Amino acid sequence: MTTYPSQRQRWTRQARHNFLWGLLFTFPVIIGLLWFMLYPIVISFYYSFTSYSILGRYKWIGASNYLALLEDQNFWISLYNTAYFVIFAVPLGIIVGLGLALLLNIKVKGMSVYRTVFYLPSIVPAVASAVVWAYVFNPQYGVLNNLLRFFGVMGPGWLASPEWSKPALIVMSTWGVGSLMIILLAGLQDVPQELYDAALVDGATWWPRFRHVTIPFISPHLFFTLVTGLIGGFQYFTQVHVLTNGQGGPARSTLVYSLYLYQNAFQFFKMGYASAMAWILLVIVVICTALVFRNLAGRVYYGGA
Amino acid sequence: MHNHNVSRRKFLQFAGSAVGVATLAACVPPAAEVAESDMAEAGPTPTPGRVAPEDRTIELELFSVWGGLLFNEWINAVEIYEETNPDVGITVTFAPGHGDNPKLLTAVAGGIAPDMAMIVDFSTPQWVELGVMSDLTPYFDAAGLSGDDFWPAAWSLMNYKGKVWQMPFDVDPNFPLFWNKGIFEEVGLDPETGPVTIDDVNEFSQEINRIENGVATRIGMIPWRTYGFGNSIYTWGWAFGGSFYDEGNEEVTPDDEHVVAALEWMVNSAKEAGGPDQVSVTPPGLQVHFFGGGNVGMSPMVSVNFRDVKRYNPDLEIGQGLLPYQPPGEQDPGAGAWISGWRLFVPTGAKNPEAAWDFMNWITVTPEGTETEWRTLGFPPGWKDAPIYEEIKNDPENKAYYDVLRTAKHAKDPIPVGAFYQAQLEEMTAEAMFERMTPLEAMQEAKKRTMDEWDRFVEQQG
Repeated sequence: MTTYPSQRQRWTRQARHNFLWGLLFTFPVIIGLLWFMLYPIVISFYYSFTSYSILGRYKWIGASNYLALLEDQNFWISLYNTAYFVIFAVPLGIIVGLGLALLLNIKVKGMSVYRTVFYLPSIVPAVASAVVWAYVFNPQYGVLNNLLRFFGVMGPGWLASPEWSKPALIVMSTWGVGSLMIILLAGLQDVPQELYDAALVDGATWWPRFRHVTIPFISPHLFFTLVTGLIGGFQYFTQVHVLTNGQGGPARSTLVYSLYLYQNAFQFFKMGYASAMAWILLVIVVICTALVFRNLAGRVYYGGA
Repeated sequence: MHNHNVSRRKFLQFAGSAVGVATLAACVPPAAEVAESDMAEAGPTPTPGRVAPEDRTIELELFSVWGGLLFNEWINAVEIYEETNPDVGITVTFAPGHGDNPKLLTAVAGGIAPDMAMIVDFSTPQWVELGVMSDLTPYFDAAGLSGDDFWPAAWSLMNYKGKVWQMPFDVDPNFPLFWNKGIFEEVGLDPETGPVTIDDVNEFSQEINRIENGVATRIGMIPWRTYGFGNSIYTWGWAFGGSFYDEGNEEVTPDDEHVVAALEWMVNSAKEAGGPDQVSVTPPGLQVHFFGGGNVGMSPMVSVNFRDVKRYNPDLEIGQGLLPYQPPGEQDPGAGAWISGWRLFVPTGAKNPEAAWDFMNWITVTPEGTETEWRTLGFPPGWKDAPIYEEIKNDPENKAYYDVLRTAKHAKDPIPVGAFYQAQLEEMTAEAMFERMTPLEAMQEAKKRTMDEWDRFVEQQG
């Protein structure tokens, strides 16, 4: 049985020395985190109970911001739009990412080139890719509708249509699955080959091999992408801001939560209100993440660890 | 020696938690993303800042909301000023934003305000109430200026509560009407005669509209795309004789019968074209106003867009006149026209307001400054006696704008929740356009929301 020295014993002179040096080197980052992350988080909680507007006077208004949000139609619309996006875009992103990872895990010549090509879109800045996708979705001249027209289908207005704008954003979100793909590819390469071989000897076709060998082994990676995708999806902002000129149109159909939060903070000067929105979002994200952990964490296979 | 191997389970749990915490901590969108997106709107290439020459004793900083070409034109204007003011050097910094301007507002809040910044005119009352702007009245009076020196609609938002807050380097005459003579000729209309009333617009549009596979590929007019839904309802609401604000009762009035009638007309126009989202008359790469694509019969345009369209498509034969009106609410051609535009102001906490005023005074109310502004930035000056207007009014291409400046009666209303009102008009007009609400319901909702917000603003910020 291994015994560890007590806390007091571990703080030798050398350890203290190392600790101080460590502190010295990490000091700038610690100050930065405290000042630029912790302080805004704490103060935004306080502001959420005030009429803070960045500038000018403000006063303590209790829970008024939270109560007003409950009656704000745009708040509920933005919540609905965000939930719609998360529900469809996150699973779609994982499916597409996994599909690409499976394809890029095949041993063929020039695979590193293919991997690079498929990863490239995820390092294109979000603004640049949004501008490109605006061209793709153009109802008359866009690539997508031209392709549909080739098959005799009249494409919708996409971003110009309240009914199709959210599906368009979801389709667009798959553009950035490169990071997911890399994580899942790493997972796929960790699956022991001997298990595939054994399954093959037992006569398993590709689906049982995928279902009973691949999926369990990459389940930690799938779980990780699900949780981070969920959190990122709730904060979806940049692309929709660019594509709709910060308005969430047409007819509020792409008014996602973060965009409405931004509008309140910087267009309507309701920073207290926006802070309340941020805290509600935090609670929603925490609850969703906790639910995912509670329901799925037990199903994740960590290779016997 | 102990070997502390980290299991995959531990690693993934740790990584997941770390990413989760970091992401949750950033619930408010980071400013960098905001700036990045606005930069894309402003121009195709990121714009570096322009630093004042080192040998100047007085250094000023000007925040420009524009990147790209207009940013460069600001630099050109500043350099001309510096030639005759050897003590002064001006740094020009890109600070994007229209209704919003996070960089400027946080700079003011953080005590590092620039000496000069830009504001869109109708935001003035709110920014004054929030304490963003400095009172320019002493400088204005000392310069011997008065409201009579400016176009009336521009002056209406320069002063608020009896004080002067900003100086107009740009008054946008919104708008003359332009028509494509080639299309008129093709469909058998007189290319020299534009529409006078909205009924004429409807009649002409029936000849011009071309719907292919349910999509409008040529259209008479797109009234709901007059610089956004909000500006569209302002323009056509006024053209129908409507009013958006009752000053006596301090009440917004988007549910005015003529405004609602204008919105009904916009909705019907869209229906006839197959729907507001079924208009596709410009190739996606078009860098100029959609009128430049050659598939739109009639359209209002601001001067900068008109200039660009002429450059992009010099063969386009364009007719111009005043905006159509609609009886019985209105009787005068051009009645829907209004004045808007960008203004310079001194933010609260600016370190050198005297020197800032000198530059602002130069570029807005001196013959040299206004001429420089016109030849660089290209906006009509707010100073109505600017000598450059002799050239503008005699230039056939700009005469229409001069006529609008002379005749325009309207400007957006000076209320302390102007940006919010504009946003509601934008949203609710869209709701009506996509037939999610009737025009009357939509405008009533815009009114209710704006009045609620106004009450809140007075109670909590006033």
